[in-house]
Amino acid sequence: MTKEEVYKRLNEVFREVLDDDSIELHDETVADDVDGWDSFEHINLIVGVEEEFGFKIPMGKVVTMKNVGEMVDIILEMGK
Amino acid sequence: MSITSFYFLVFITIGVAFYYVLPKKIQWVVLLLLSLVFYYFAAVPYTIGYLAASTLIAYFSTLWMKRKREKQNQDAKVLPVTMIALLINIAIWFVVKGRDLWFPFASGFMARHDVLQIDAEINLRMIASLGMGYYTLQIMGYIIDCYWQNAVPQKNPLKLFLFVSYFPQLTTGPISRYAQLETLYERHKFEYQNISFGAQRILWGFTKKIVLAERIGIIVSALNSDMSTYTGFYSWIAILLYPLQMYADFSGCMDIVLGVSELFGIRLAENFHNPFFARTSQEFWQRWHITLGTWAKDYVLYPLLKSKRMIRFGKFTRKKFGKKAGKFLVNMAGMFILWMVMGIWHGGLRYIAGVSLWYWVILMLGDLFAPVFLKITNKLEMKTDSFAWHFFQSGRTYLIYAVGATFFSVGVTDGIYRLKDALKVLCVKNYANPWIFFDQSILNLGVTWGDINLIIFVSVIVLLVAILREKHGYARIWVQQQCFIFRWMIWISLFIIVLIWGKYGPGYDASIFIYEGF
Amino acid sequence: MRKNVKTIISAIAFCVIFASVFQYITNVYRPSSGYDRTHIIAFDEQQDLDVVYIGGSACFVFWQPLRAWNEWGIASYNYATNGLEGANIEYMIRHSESAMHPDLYIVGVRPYQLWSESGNTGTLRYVTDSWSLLSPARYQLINSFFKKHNSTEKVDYPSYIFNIINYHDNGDVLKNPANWHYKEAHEKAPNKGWEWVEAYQYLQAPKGWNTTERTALINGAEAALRELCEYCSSENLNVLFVVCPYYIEQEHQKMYNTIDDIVSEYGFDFLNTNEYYDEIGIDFNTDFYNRRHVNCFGAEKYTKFLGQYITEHYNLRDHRGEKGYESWGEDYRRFCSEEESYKQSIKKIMENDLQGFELAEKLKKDKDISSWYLNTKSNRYTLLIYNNGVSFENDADLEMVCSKWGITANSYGCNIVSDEVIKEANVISEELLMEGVIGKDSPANGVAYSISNEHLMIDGMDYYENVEGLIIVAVDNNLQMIADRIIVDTSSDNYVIKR
Repeated sequence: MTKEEVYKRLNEVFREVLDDDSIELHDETVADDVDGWDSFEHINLIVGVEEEFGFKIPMGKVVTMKNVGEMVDIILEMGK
Repeated sequence: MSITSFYFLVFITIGVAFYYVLPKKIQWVVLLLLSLVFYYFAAVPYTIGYLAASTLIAYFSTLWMKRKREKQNQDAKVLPVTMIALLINIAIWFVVKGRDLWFPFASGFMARHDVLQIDAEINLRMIASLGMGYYTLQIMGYIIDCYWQNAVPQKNPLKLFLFVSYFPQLTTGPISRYAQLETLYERHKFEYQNISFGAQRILWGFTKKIVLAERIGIIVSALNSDMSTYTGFYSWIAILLYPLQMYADFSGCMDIVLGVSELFGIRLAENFHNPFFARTSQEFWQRWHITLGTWAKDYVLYPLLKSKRMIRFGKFTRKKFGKKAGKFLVNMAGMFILWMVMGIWHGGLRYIAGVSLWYWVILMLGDLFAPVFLKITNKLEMKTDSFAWHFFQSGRTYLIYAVGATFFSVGVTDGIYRLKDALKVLCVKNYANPWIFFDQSILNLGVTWGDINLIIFVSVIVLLVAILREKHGYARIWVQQQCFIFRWMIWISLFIIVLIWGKYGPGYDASIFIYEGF
Repeated sequence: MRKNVKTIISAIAFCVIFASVFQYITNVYRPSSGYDRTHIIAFDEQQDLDVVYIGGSACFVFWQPLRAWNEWGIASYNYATNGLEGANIEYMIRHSESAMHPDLYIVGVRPYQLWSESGNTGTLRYVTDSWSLLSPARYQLINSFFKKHNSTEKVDYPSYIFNIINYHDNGDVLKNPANWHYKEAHEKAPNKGWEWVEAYQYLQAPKGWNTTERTALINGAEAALRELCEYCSSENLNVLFVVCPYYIEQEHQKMYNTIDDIVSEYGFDFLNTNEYYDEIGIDFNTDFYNRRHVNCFGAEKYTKFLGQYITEHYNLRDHRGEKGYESWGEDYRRFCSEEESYKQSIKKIMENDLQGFELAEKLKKDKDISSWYLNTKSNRYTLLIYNNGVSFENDADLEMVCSKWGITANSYGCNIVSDEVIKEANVISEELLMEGVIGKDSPANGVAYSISNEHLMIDGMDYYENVEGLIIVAVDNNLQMIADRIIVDTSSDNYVIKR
């Protein structure tokens, strides 16, 4: 999996969960940058990511991830 | 020893001196000893056993976790032990601190079933330790962090005990994470900036607490002591003043705590960030008692929402009621549990009413009607970026908090009475008594015009500082940029204000912080 | 390096400014209550003194430092406040020793005789508030004071160490110019701690007070006294313990005997001037203004006597003519002119009071009730009116009866102290009919009276005579004795005096 592929699929998940087709994610994107990404949606997004990529993200990482870039790193690592 | 007492100031002066004079290797030991000394004078000494118990439970469970994982790889089943450790801590807290929640039921039960009457003596024996609400959450956070492998378990039990009992934050928080406080064990060089910033912050905290909060407290106490007389607009005064008192009291306390910790070179997390600038109640809770909110979010909400049951429930509601409604129902459930936890942590029915239920309703309504409001403001082409709109939103935030805080202040039954009374002013003909503002009856509440002027003056300064903070991160950064004469004038003026108009000295009880009881 | 030095200098400068502001506010807020604080503060401004006289009001209205200067060239000072308590004295000596080394300390011992159980923190503050924060004696005194006294309330030590804690609430001080000019207001003790009092009281010399018995001192007094003696003896100080002349009682004398024993153990002198009325030439009829204090006539005699005593018994230098002591001469001249005017006014009061004897004689000869009453209708007299065993017509009460000749309870000049009356004339009751205090102005300077069916006590003396009738006793307020007593016959409409 390359980073671009991850971003492509990740964008899909976000757009689906948050009901917003205009979302474009980058490494530095944080929750404040995206409309509707609050604590509740955060979990929905995580669940969506887990379903999309097929693995469970450990709770510890859910709590500490700071931005989308970290999320992508986690996905890449878990995917190996 | 209260943290606004003269003795405390002497205590930290000596403490800081020792801290920087002794070898850096044992600085954490100095902090530990200071915490023990503080505990001895600030609380009933033997209750430190509770802290020790929590520490040992965390210590053994986390080390066991680590060892099990090393032996059996990451698949080791450590959850049961983790849960037991957490539950024991919760149980201790509940039995000792949460007494208001179970005692009425228990004594009633025992009375009905002719079991031995719980008498006052047993009641007394359950004296809680200082800061039980705060350190319990903190140590639970540590255990969970170790379970999630976000933290490496501490091998030295004394160091862990320092994490639990660190004296500046013991009585009123903030609730720190283990990662934030690992700096306790590091070496800290003497930096003049730490001392000056810390001292400035402490001075500012004193101003808010003993000049502003105590003064407003006189009025509020007078109004609370005789609610049947003080009706009509008096209720409004009480309702609207109390949030200001709470803010000045709690955030002033935080300033002292963070300032003291800064003297030792240890940065604690902020607990307040101009809460009344918040545009929505949701934002309010990201600015008020921040560490409690983030703790609840990370350790209660997230695990809850990510649990299988919740996910299944979410899928079910989305299928049945559609995406939007389904999400809303999940949110409602999650919020309810989250808010009940926060309310229960405060340890009393009045907090569950005033914090949990009230805010849960408000936030749910806000969520429900958000799209409607958006449509309205768009239709009416309101300038939502303007200062006027922000002012309106802040006022709304303040008012919402004021209503909830009424329960905080006088309890559930009196709170309902007072709120009803306030409504009567608006709805019932001839009920309002606006003349009380003009006939000097305010002076019967135990304050003089001088006091009221001072309240207004210091409130304005607090507002200015809040604005500076919004712009510069910290007001003192802006102060630091000014020339030294201006800076010195500010600090000396604050000192004079606290010295002359502070409510301290013989004749005042060592002022208790409102949040010290948790 | 430069930055560090700059930081250190600015830090020190800030701390200095901080401390100055703190000290300034502390001084402004310190109550400027008259001469008590002045005496303590001004002491620190004095140059080398030869004699320091420590005590309560029994010091600063007795010893005249400027007179002592004029007679013997001694530089002395009254280091005293009103109601000074015994626990303070040792530390005042310590404080004094830190700045100068007087040849002699005179300690008035009333503060040890009058020891109070809980201790008067007000008078403690006269002293501790006035001492600098850098004075060790300040902290020692605060510590010792509360150890020696049993306080019922929790002691707030910080408010004694930093007195601003106690006073910062009192916004009224900012209205008082004296507080802002605390330096000017407090520096002056122009008469070196001596204070004028314009008052006079006729007294008679106390009798039967002398005894050789001893009685223990109250609570911590003995400990305080012993500690004082130990300190002074270890520093080889000369200390003279004195009792000033006053209306002494036997119980007091017993304690003085005890004090005499204690200080003699340490080799200090004890002088009870009450044993030397003749030598001093003190006259209780003319020289006092109340039972415990002399007026300036008595003070002059006392100073001359005591000054003679100390120059004979101690090695004191005569500084008259010496460089640096010129101001003492100037002060003495001013003191003399002040003395002139005070002596005149006190003489006037004395003459007025002593006139009471003549007037009493006149009263006794008066046979007519109206004129008798007119003569007693003045501030000079208190009328005690009571009814002994007589009933009035128509159940009239005393006030109604008295109003017949114009006496009412609120009559100007007539202090009617009668009130309840026995209506049943034949009931003889053991109970007290009335009691109170009569005297010049404040109850503290008055004498107690009480009347019952069997007693007429005024100032401890019983003037009871077994006569029936409406009795009016005229007491001279100034002389504190009975001027005249009449019995009024109310059987007929025209009241008549019987004697």
